[in-house]
Amino acid sequence: MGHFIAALLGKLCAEEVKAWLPPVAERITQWAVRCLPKELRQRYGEEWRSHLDDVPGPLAKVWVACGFLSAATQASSRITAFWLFLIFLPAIGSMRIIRYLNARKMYTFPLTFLSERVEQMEIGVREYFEGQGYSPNQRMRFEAWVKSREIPLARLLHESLNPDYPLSRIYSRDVHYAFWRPSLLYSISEYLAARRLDQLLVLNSVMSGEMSLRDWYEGATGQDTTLLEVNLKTNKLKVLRAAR
Amino acid sequence: MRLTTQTLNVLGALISSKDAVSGADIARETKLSSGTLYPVLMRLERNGWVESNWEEGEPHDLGRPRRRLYRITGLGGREARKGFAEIKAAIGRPAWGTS
Repeated sequence: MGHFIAALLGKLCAEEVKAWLPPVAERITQWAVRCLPKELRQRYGEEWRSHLDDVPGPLAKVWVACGFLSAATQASSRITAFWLFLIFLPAIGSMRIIRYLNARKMYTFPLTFLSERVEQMEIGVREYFEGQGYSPNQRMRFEAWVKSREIPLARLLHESLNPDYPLSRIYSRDVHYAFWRPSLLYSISEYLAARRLDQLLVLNSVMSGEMSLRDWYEGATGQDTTLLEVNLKTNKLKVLRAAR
Repeated sequence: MRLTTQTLNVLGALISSKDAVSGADIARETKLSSGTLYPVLMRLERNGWVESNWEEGEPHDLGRPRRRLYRITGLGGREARKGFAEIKAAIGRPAWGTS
Protein backbone atom coordinates (compact mmCIF):
# COMPACT_ATOMS: atom_id res chain seq x y z
CA MET A 1 0.00 0.00 0.00
CA GLY A 2 2.81 2.33 1.02
CA HIS A 3 4.62 1.66 -2.27
CA PHE A 4 1.45 2.35 -4.24
CA ILE A 5 0.92 5.71 -2.51
CA ALA A 6 4.60 6.62 -2.97
CA ALA A 7 4.41 5.77 -6.69
CA LEU A 8 1.20 7.76 -7.10
CA LEU A 9 2.60 10.77 -5.26
CA GLY A 10 5.83 10.52 -7.25
CA LYS A 11 3.89 10.50 -10.53
CA LEU A 12 1.75 13.45 -9.44
CA CYS A 13 4.80 15.43 -8.37
CA ALA A 14 6.60 14.62 -11.64
CA GLU A 15 3.61 15.82 -13.67
CA GLU A 16 3.34 18.96 -11.59
CA VAL A 17 7.04 19.76 -12.03
CA LYS A 18 6.82 19.01 -15.77
CA ALA A 19 3.92 21.44 -16.13
CA TRP A 20 5.74 24.18 -14.24
CA LEU A 21 9.10 23.92 -15.96
CA PRO A 22 8.30 25.66 -19.31
CA PRO A 23 6.97 28.83 -17.59
CA VAL A 24 10.03 28.76 -15.32
CA ALA A 25 12.29 28.60 -18.39
CA GLU A 26 10.34 31.49 -19.91
CA ARG A 27 10.71 33.56 -16.73
CA ILE A 28 14.45 32.90 -16.56
CA THR A 29 14.78 33.94 -20.21
CA GLN A 30 12.88 37.17 -19.50
CA TRP A 31 15.16 37.76 -16.55
CA ALA A 32 18.21 37.14 -18.72
CA VAL A 33 16.94 39.58 -21.36
CA ARG A 34 16.41 42.24 -18.70
CA CYS A 35 20.04 41.77 -17.64
CA LEU A 36 21.26 42.67 -21.14
CA PRO A 37 22.17 46.21 -22.19
CA LYS A 38 19.06 48.03 -23.55
CA GLU A 39 20.13 47.98 -27.20
CA LEU A 40 20.43 44.16 -27.21
CA ARG A 41 17.23 43.28 -25.38
CA GLN A 42 14.78 43.14 -28.27
CA ARG A 43 17.08 41.11 -30.49
CA TYR A 44 18.11 38.51 -27.94
CA GLY A 45 14.61 38.36 -26.45
CA GLU A 46 13.28 37.00 -29.74
CA GLU A 47 16.39 34.98 -30.59
CA TRP A 48 16.50 33.19 -27.25
CA ARG A 49 12.77 32.42 -27.33
CA SER A 50 13.24 30.79 -30.72
CA HIS A 51 16.22 28.85 -29.30
CA LEU A 52 14.05 27.63 -26.40
CA ASP A 53 11.42 26.54 -28.94
CA ASP A 54 14.00 24.28 -30.58
CA VAL A 55 15.00 22.59 -27.32
CA PRO A 56 13.13 19.35 -26.58
CA GLY A 57 12.16 18.56 -23.00
CA PRO A 58 11.09 20.94 -20.22
CA LEU A 59 14.13 20.31 -18.01
CA ALA A 60 16.52 20.98 -20.90
CA LYS A 61 14.65 24.25 -21.55
CA VAL A 62 15.33 25.40 -17.98
CA TRP A 63 18.99 24.45 -18.34
CA VAL A 64 19.30 26.40 -21.61
CA ALA A 65 17.49 29.39 -20.04
CA CYS A 66 20.00 29.37 -17.16
CA GLY A 67 22.69 29.51 -19.86
CA PHE A 68 21.03 32.64 -21.28
CA LEU A 69 21.25 34.20 -17.84
CA SER A 70 24.93 33.41 -17.70
CA ALA A 71 25.43 34.80 -21.23
CA ALA A 72 23.53 37.98 -20.32
CA THR A 73 25.61 38.59 -17.21
CA GLN A 74 28.76 38.19 -19.30
CA ALA A 75 27.47 40.77 -21.79
CA SER A 76 27.22 43.35 -19.04
CA SER A 77 30.19 43.77 -16.71
CA ARG A 78 28.18 45.85 -14.25
CA ILE A 79 25.66 43.06 -13.82
CA THR A 80 28.41 40.44 -13.61
CA ALA A 81 29.90 42.15 -10.59
CA PHE A 82 26.45 42.53 -9.05
CA TRP A 83 25.59 38.84 -9.47
CA LEU A 84 28.97 37.70 -8.28
CA PHE A 85 28.52 39.52 -5.01
CA LEU A 86 24.88 38.52 -4.64
CA ILE A 87 25.55 34.83 -5.24
CA PHE A 88 28.85 34.47 -3.42
CA LEU A 89 28.16 36.60 -0.38
CA PRO A 90 26.23 33.80 1.40
CA ALA A 91 29.04 31.38 0.53
CA ILE A 92 31.62 33.68 2.08
CA GLY A 93 29.40 34.14 5.13
CA SER A 94 29.15 30.36 5.59
CA MET A 95 32.93 29.98 5.28
CA ARG A 96 33.45 32.63 7.93
CA ILE A 97 31.03 30.88 10.31
CA ILE A 98 32.76 27.51 9.78
CA ARG A 99 36.18 29.05 10.42
CA TYR A 100 34.89 30.75 13.54
CA LEU A 101 33.44 27.51 14.91
CA ASN A 102 36.57 25.60 13.95
CA ALA A 103 38.80 28.07 15.77
CA ARG A 104 36.76 27.62 18.95
CA LYS A 105 36.50 23.85 18.61
CA MET A 106 32.74 24.07 18.47
CA TYR A 107 31.47 20.98 16.73
CA THR A 108 27.80 21.74 16.92
CA PHE A 109 27.70 22.93 13.33
CA PRO A 110 27.12 19.79 11.21
CA LEU A 111 29.63 20.71 8.49
CA THR A 112 32.36 21.41 11.00
CA PHE A 113 31.63 18.16 12.75
CA LEU A 114 31.84 16.22 9.51
CA SER A 115 35.01 17.91 8.29
CA GLU A 116 36.75 17.33 11.63
CA ARG A 117 35.84 13.65 11.60
CA VAL A 118 37.14 13.23 8.05
CA GLU A 119 40.40 14.97 8.90
CA GLN A 120 41.02 12.60 11.78
CA MET A 121 40.88 9.54 9.51
CA GLU A 122 44.38 8.33 8.81
CA ILE A 123 44.36 6.44 5.52
CA GLY A 124 47.68 7.16 3.79
CA VAL A 125 48.75 7.90 0.24
CA ARG A 126 49.32 4.30 -0.81
CA GLU A 127 45.83 3.25 0.21
CA TYR A 128 44.45 6.34 -1.44
CA PHE A 129 46.06 5.51 -4.79
CA GLU A 130 45.19 1.85 -4.58
CA GLY A 131 41.62 2.81 -3.81
CA GLN A 132 41.63 4.82 -7.02
CA GLY A 133 42.54 1.69 -8.95
CA TYR A 134 46.28 2.34 -9.48
CA SER A 135 48.82 -0.47 -9.21
CA PRO A 136 51.15 -0.33 -6.17
CA ASN A 137 54.21 -0.31 -8.48
CA GLN A 138 53.02 2.65 -10.48
CA ARG A 139 54.43 6.16 -10.43
CA MET A 140 51.79 8.83 -10.33
CA ARG A 141 52.18 12.45 -11.25
CA PHE A 142 49.86 15.06 -9.96
CA GLU A 143 49.59 18.76 -9.53
CA ALA A 144 49.15 20.10 -6.06
CA TRP A 145 47.80 23.44 -5.02
CA VAL A 146 49.97 25.12 -2.46
CA LYS A 147 47.93 27.18 -0.11
CA SER A 148 49.77 30.02 1.50
CA ARG A 149 47.89 29.99 4.81
CA GLU A 150 47.41 26.30 5.35
CA ILE A 151 50.49 24.35 4.31
CA PRO A 152 49.56 20.68 4.15
CA LEU A 153 51.77 20.17 1.11
CA ALA A 154 54.86 21.42 2.92
CA ARG A 155 54.06 19.00 5.73
CA LEU A 156 53.45 16.24 3.24
CA LEU A 157 56.87 16.81 1.63
CA HIS A 158 58.65 17.09 4.96
CA GLU A 159 57.15 13.88 6.22
CA SER A 160 57.80 11.98 3.00
CA LEU A 161 61.54 12.83 3.17
CA ASN A 162 61.79 11.76 6.80
CA PRO A 163 62.51 7.98 7.00
CA ASP A 164 60.95 7.79 10.46
CA TYR A 165 57.74 9.20 9.14
CA PRO A 166 56.52 7.07 6.23
CA LEU A 167 53.91 8.25 3.81
CA SER A 168 51.37 5.94 5.35
CA ARG A 169 51.16 8.36 8.27
CA ILE A 170 49.97 11.21 6.12
CA TYR A 171 46.48 12.31 6.87
CA SER A 172 43.70 12.05 4.36
CA ARG A 173 43.21 15.77 4.70
CA ASP A 174 46.65 16.32 3.12
CA VAL A 175 45.91 13.92 0.31
CA HIS A 176 42.66 15.72 -0.22
CA TYR A 177 44.44 19.06 -0.49
CA ALA A 178 47.09 17.66 -2.79
CA PHE A 179 44.44 16.56 -5.26
CA TRP A 180 42.11 19.38 -4.64
CA ARG A 181 41.45 21.81 -7.46
CA PRO A 182 39.54 24.93 -6.57
CA SER A 183 36.03 25.35 -7.91
CA LEU A 184 34.88 28.68 -9.27
CA LEU A 185 32.86 29.27 -6.10
CA TYR A 186 35.78 28.54 -3.80
CA SER A 187 38.20 30.63 -5.89
CA ILE A 188 35.95 33.64 -5.77
CA SER A 189 35.34 33.36 -2.02
CA GLU A 190 39.08 33.00 -1.40
CA TYR A 191 39.74 35.95 -3.66
CA LEU A 192 37.19 38.10 -1.83
CA ALA A 193 38.80 37.11 1.45
CA ALA A 194 42.13 38.29 0.01
CA ARG A 195 40.41 41.57 -1.01
CA ARG A 196 42.17 41.87 -4.37
CA LEU A 197 39.59 44.18 -5.92
CA ASP A 198 41.79 44.83 -8.96
CA GLN A 199 41.35 41.17 -9.95
CA LEU A 200 37.58 41.52 -10.23
CA LEU A 201 37.92 43.13 -13.65
CA VAL A 202 40.19 40.29 -14.79
CA LEU A 203 37.48 37.84 -13.77
CA ASN A 204 35.47 39.00 -16.77
CA SER A 205 38.13 37.44 -19.00
CA VAL A 206 37.64 34.13 -17.20
CA MET A 207 33.87 34.33 -17.67
CA SER A 208 34.32 35.06 -21.37
CA GLY A 209 36.71 32.12 -21.76
CA GLU A 210 39.75 34.23 -22.63
CA MET A 211 41.67 33.31 -19.49
CA SER A 212 41.80 30.08 -17.54
CA LEU A 213 40.41 29.95 -14.02
CA ARG A 214 43.72 28.58 -12.81
CA ASP A 215 45.67 31.60 -14.09
CA TRP A 216 43.20 33.96 -12.49
CA TYR A 217 43.15 32.03 -9.23
CA GLU A 218 46.93 32.11 -8.91
CA GLY A 219 47.04 35.85 -9.52
CA ALA A 220 44.08 36.65 -7.30
CA THR A 221 44.93 34.57 -4.26
CA GLY A 222 48.71 34.25 -4.45
CA GLN A 223 48.42 30.47 -4.49
CA ASP A 224 50.43 28.33 -6.82
CA THR A 225 50.79 24.80 -8.11
CA THR A 226 53.55 22.26 -7.75
CA LEU A 227 53.99 19.21 -9.97
CA LEU A 228 54.79 16.13 -7.90
CA GLU A 229 55.51 12.52 -8.60
CA VAL A 230 54.77 9.82 -6.09
CA ASN A 231 56.46 6.44 -6.42
CA LEU A 232 54.08 3.99 -4.87
CA LYS A 233 56.74 1.27 -4.67
CA THR A 234 59.23 3.24 -2.58
CA ASN A 235 56.73 5.59 -0.94
CA LYS A 236 58.73 8.60 -2.09
CA LEU A 237 57.58 11.94 -3.38
CA LYS A 238 59.60 13.91 -5.91
CA VAL A 239 59.06 17.55 -6.83
CA LEU A 240 59.09 17.86 -10.62
CA ARG A 241 58.29 21.53 -10.71
CA ALA A 242 58.17 23.74 -7.62
CA ALA A 243 55.67 26.51 -7.19
CA ARG A 244 56.86 29.82 -8.57
CA MET B 1 40.99 38.31 -30.90
CA ARG B 2 42.13 35.34 -28.80
CA LEU B 3 40.94 32.00 -30.14
CA THR B 4 39.71 29.66 -27.44
CA THR B 5 38.68 26.04 -28.01
CA GLN B 6 35.03 27.04 -27.79
CA THR B 7 35.51 29.83 -30.34
CA LEU B 8 37.20 27.39 -32.73
CA ASN B 9 34.35 24.92 -32.21
CA VAL B 10 31.81 27.56 -33.17
CA LEU B 11 33.85 28.71 -36.16
CA GLY B 12 34.27 25.08 -37.25
CA ALA B 13 30.51 24.54 -37.09
CA LEU B 14 29.85 27.70 -39.10
CA ILE B 15 32.47 26.82 -41.75
CA SER B 16 31.13 23.30 -42.18
CA SER B 17 27.51 24.38 -42.68
CA LYS B 18 26.54 25.54 -46.16
CA ASP B 19 23.58 27.65 -45.08
CA ALA B 20 23.18 30.15 -42.30
CA VAL B 21 22.42 28.42 -39.01
CA SER B 22 20.61 29.37 -35.81
CA GLY B 23 22.14 29.46 -32.32
CA ALA B 24 20.25 26.28 -31.40
CA ASP B 25 21.74 24.47 -34.43
CA ILE B 26 25.26 25.61 -33.49
CA ALA B 27 24.68 24.52 -29.87
CA ARG B 28 23.58 21.08 -31.08
CA GLU B 29 26.55 20.78 -33.44
CA THR B 30 29.22 21.98 -31.00
CA LYS B 31 27.57 20.62 -27.83
CA LEU B 32 28.27 23.96 -26.16
CA SER B 33 25.87 25.27 -23.53
CA SER B 34 23.92 28.42 -24.30
CA GLY B 35 25.89 30.24 -21.59
CA THR B 36 29.12 29.60 -23.48
CA LEU B 37 27.82 29.83 -27.02
CA TYR B 38 26.15 33.25 -27.00
CA PRO B 39 29.08 35.19 -25.49
CA VAL B 40 31.29 33.60 -28.18
CA LEU B 41 28.81 34.55 -30.93
CA MET B 42 28.52 38.09 -29.53
CA ARG B 43 32.30 38.46 -29.58
CA LEU B 44 32.63 37.05 -33.09
CA GLU B 45 29.89 39.33 -34.38
CA ARG B 46 31.43 42.38 -32.70
CA ASN B 47 34.74 41.63 -34.43
CA GLY B 48 33.11 41.08 -37.84
CA TRP B 49 33.97 37.38 -38.08
CA VAL B 50 30.32 36.40 -38.10
CA GLU B 51 27.19 38.12 -39.38
CA SER B 52 23.59 37.41 -38.51
CA ASN B 53 20.14 38.09 -39.95
CA TRP B 54 16.57 37.27 -39.03
CA GLU B 55 15.03 34.41 -40.93
CA GLU B 56 12.45 35.39 -43.51
CA GLY B 57 8.81 35.54 -42.48
CA GLU B 58 6.87 37.09 -39.64
CA PRO B 59 6.41 35.38 -36.25
CA HIS B 60 2.60 35.22 -36.65
CA ASP B 61 2.97 33.53 -40.06
CA LEU B 62 5.64 31.14 -38.79
CA GLY B 63 3.71 30.39 -35.59
CA ARG B 64 6.89 30.78 -33.50
CA PRO B 65 9.55 33.40 -32.77
CA ARG B 66 11.89 34.14 -35.69
CA ARG B 67 15.31 32.51 -35.67
CA ARG B 68 18.46 34.58 -35.89
CA LEU B 69 20.68 32.94 -38.50
CA TYR B 70 24.46 33.15 -38.31
CA ARG B 71 26.91 32.99 -41.20
CA ILE B 72 30.70 33.26 -41.19
CA THR B 73 32.21 36.26 -43.00
CA GLY B 74 35.26 36.22 -45.30
CA LEU B 75 37.40 37.67 -42.50
CA GLY B 76 36.10 35.08 -40.03
CA GLY B 77 36.81 32.23 -42.46
CA ARG B 78 40.39 33.38 -43.05
CA GLU B 79 41.12 33.88 -39.36
CA ALA B 80 39.53 30.56 -38.41
CA ARG B 81 41.61 28.64 -40.95
CA LYS B 82 44.72 30.40 -39.63
CA GLY B 83 43.73 29.39 -36.08
CA PHE B 84 43.14 25.77 -37.08
CA ALA B 85 46.54 25.65 -38.82
CA GLU B 86 48.27 26.98 -35.68
CA ILE B 87 46.54 24.40 -33.51
CA LYS B 88 47.50 21.62 -35.90
CA ALA B 89 51.15 22.73 -35.83
CA ALA B 90 51.14 22.93 -32.01
CA ILE B 91 49.75 19.42 -31.53
CA GLY B 92 53.05 17.83 -32.58
CA ARG B 93 55.04 19.62 -29.88
CA PRO B 94 55.72 17.81 -26.58
CA ALA B 95 53.76 19.16 -23.62
CA TRP B 96 55.74 20.46 -20.66
CA GLY B 97 56.20 18.29 -17.61
CA THR B 98 55.27 14.95 -19.12
CA SER B 99 57.65 12.40 -20.46
